[in-house]
Amino acid sequence: MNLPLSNLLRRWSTASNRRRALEELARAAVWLGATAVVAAGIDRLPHGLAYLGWEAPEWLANVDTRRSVIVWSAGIVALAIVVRGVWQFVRRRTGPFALARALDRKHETRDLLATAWALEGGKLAADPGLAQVVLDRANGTSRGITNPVTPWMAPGRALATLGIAAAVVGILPTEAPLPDLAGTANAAESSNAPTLPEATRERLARTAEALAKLERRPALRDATRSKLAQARAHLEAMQRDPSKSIGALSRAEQALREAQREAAKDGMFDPKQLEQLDAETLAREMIEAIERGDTDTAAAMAEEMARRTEDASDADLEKLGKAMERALANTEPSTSASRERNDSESGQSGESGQESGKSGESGKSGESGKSGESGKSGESGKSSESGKSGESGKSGESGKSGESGKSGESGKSGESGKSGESGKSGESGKSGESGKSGESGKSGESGKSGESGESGESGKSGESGKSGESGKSGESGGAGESGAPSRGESERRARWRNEAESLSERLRGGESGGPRSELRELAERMRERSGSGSLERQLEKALEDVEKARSRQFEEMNKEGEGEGEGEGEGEGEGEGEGEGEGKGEGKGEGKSGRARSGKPGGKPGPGGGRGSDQYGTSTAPPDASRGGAEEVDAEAAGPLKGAVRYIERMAQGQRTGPEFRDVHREYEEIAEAAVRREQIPLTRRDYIRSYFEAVRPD
Amino acid sequence: MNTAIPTTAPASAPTDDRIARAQESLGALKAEIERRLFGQSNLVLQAIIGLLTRGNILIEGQPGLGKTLLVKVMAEAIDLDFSRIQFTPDLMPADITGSQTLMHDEHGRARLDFRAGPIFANLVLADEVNRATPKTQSALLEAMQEHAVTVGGVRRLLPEPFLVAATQNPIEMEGTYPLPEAQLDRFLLKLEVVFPSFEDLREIGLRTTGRTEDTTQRAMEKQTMLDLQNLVRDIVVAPHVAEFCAALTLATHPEAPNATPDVKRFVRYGASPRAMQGLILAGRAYALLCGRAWVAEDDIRAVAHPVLRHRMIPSFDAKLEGVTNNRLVDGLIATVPNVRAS
Repeated sequence: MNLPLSNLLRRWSTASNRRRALEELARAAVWLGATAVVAAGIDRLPHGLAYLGWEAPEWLANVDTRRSVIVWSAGIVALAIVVRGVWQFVRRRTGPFALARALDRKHETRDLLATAWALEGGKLAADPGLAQVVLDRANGTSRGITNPVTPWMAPGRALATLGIAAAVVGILPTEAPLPDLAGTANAAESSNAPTLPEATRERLARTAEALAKLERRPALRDATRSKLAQARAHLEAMQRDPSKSIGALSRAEQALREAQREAAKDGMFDPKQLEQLDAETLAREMIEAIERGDTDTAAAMAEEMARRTEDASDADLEKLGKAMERALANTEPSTSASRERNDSESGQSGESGQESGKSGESGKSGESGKSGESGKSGESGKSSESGKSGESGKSGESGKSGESGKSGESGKSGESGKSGESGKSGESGKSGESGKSGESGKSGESGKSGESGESGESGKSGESGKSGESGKSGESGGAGESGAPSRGESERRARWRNEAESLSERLRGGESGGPRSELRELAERMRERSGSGSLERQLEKALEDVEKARSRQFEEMNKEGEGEGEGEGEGEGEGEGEGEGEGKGEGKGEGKSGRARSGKPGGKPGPGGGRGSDQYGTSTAPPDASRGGAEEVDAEAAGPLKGAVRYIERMAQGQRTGPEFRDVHREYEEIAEAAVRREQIPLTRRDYIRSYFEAVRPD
Repeated sequence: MNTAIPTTAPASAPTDDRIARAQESLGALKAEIERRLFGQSNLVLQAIIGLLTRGNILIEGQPGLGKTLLVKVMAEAIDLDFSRIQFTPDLMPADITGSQTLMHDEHGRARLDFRAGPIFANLVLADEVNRATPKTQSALLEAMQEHAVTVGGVRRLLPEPFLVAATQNPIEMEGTYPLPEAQLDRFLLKLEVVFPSFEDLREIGLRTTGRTEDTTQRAMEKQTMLDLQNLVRDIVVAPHVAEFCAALTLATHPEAPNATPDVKRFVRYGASPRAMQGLILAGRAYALLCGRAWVAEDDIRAVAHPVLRHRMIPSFDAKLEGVTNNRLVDGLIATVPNVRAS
């Protein structure tokens, strides 16, 4: 039996349900997006409040708590969105019959399709002739139906919410405002700062040196370079005039924070400056950076090199390849250098310094010896310088610089407290126990070592100094560069070096596509390996050192100061309980006639009730032929009056309680019933009267 | 002068043709009755529905609004026998049904002859039925129900089509015996005659006060009406429409879960299952009048008032607050959804 209409309705309802499902999916996705945006907004809220000068609640200020709350809340909301979406779909899903009815309403066919559906489904027995009439007409009507599937309903509200949320969240700051350290600095100028411990001074001197090395990084952004220079200048000024240490440290910290923020936002390296480097310099910088573990520099150089292979001629490619080849030839692998350094070092800073200079391989120590060049290895150069300064210890320190240097002293570092500060370093010096060194030790990652020394640099530069110790902390050294990169780090560098060798060969051969993508992959891996970027870590370490020193100085200053009476004595004693009105008589005698309308004693009407004479105070007993005269009622009673009309009036207002009303009702009903029995009431009205009393019966 | 009278197509004709011709016939009938009865289009429609469904109708309205004329014209338009019974307090049942009379034949032998009462007609107008005693009323009601009367032990069928149109005068209540609610339920429809509009009143005055009296043209044959009454019973009613009728009937009961707040407050007793039957039958007739072979929910809504307004017994609160059954029915058809339709 051909059932065209049924099939048609089924097809349409399936299509309609599919569309509804997609709509709900889209709506849910948009709501989820809005939830994510709001979650991001809540995460940024403390920064926004800080900009406004407001203090965020504790749970909001604490990152872990805040994020925990956000995750849980967002999770619950997301679950609710999904559940709601499913429920909405189930609710709006239509079967063939419901669709038939909807189409009937839309096309004003007066249940034709729904009736035809029932006929085709055998749901009713009907005259065959009439049934056929209905079916024929329904089939004819269905052929003329266009757009049977309900149209798309865009998730307008969800999109609007997403838009508004995005707009609001977009204006929230992504980071907290920088503290007004300059103001602090200015304020602190007027007071004499406490004496800076010697160890701290030396550590900060090394930090300044490390910053100087950072400044000499190739292709560094001008703004970043400038901030680093400012910070270094303040630290150097502090060295010259320790009495102004607080101010200098504050300004240095401010500059470092700004540099850090800019680096986070725009990156450390300037693409334009990178473009201006010649091939030789580019290749050399890359290889040297690899060898000293300066992975972000190496990554930047590799990225630039990959860019240059685009649309490069064979000659250019060959030039690049040769430059890389020469750089590889001129740069000793850091691993061997490290070993050497370790041997020579053994903790003798000076030597290490020298070695670092030498071992410099890692740090191009050789070059470093020249210092200038070492500048490149930068660090190593410095280290060697430090070595020269004879402060091998320093270099050593520097080598350890970060921590190692300190650790150099380290043995004392720990004691010097610098190590304490370096904390890490100290330990690292020792053997990487310091957190960092430890870490670096483990990872041997230059990054860490880096930290261990801004000295890290030295470390990195493998300035032996580090190497020496880094050898020890080696780990801290991650300094691997300089000194003792971990085995893993060494292997990585060796691997990257090998890759560079292979790439140079292929470039010389005129190949561009493969080397390009491999260079990019190499850059990516180096970035990953360094985590947040070794340069950034060095910056972070310098900032940390300066911040700690500044905080310590403030503490010392405050200790001396003593007794700034904070005592905010709160003590607002508010809350005098005024007992507001113990129900003093409201409604003083509202009864106009001196009678409390509501009449209830002791109630709102207060004392005024029931006073005064009034005609209603007397009884108004209902007329009753069977009774005698009117019933007398005492109007002066404190309680309610027994006036019948009064009670009836109250009943009309909805108050059907009270014995008085019941009495009145009963009296009247008896009278009326008696009248009905005596047939004084027309037959057709008797029920009326009975119904009346039924309706007004007491509650 | 007889004009061409549309007839229903023979049963063998295509059904669609039958529906079309039925609509045409009924349209002609309605037009003719409306020609005689100005400004009562809705009343005429409902009266025809009553006739199609073989249901009895109760007409309520002030004197002089054309209640008698309606039934008379309807009878004339269909060539049906018409009789009018004026109910008075002293009217006896035999006055309605007829009685046996002792007669003498030519040989002087006595015999009992049955004299048919006015009930033996196709359309019977029972005027002011509330003036007769309950005993007399019951005789009429029995005839309405059975389409037969029993006199002297002999059951006599009433002619078909048979319809009783009873009227009640709402003004005079003294000395009247309003039909009990249980008896009201036997009427399929209760029609309310509205006062004519200004234009209609003018037309009435001009047309009915001349020298010549307007006459009713025959618009339909008796057999046609009988065929139409059969056809109405075949109109298709889908399950969801029947469910709607059931929901509507149930909603008239204050204790029902789907009762409206007004029903809960103002109705003492709801409609009986006869209301459900009335809704479906009247809906079928309405659909046929519209030329459709199936009933729509809107058809039920269109006939809900005449079917339900006399079947709900209002509470005293309704009388106090002046809430009419029409208002209750308005609320029902607006708010009662067909919740079981899926």
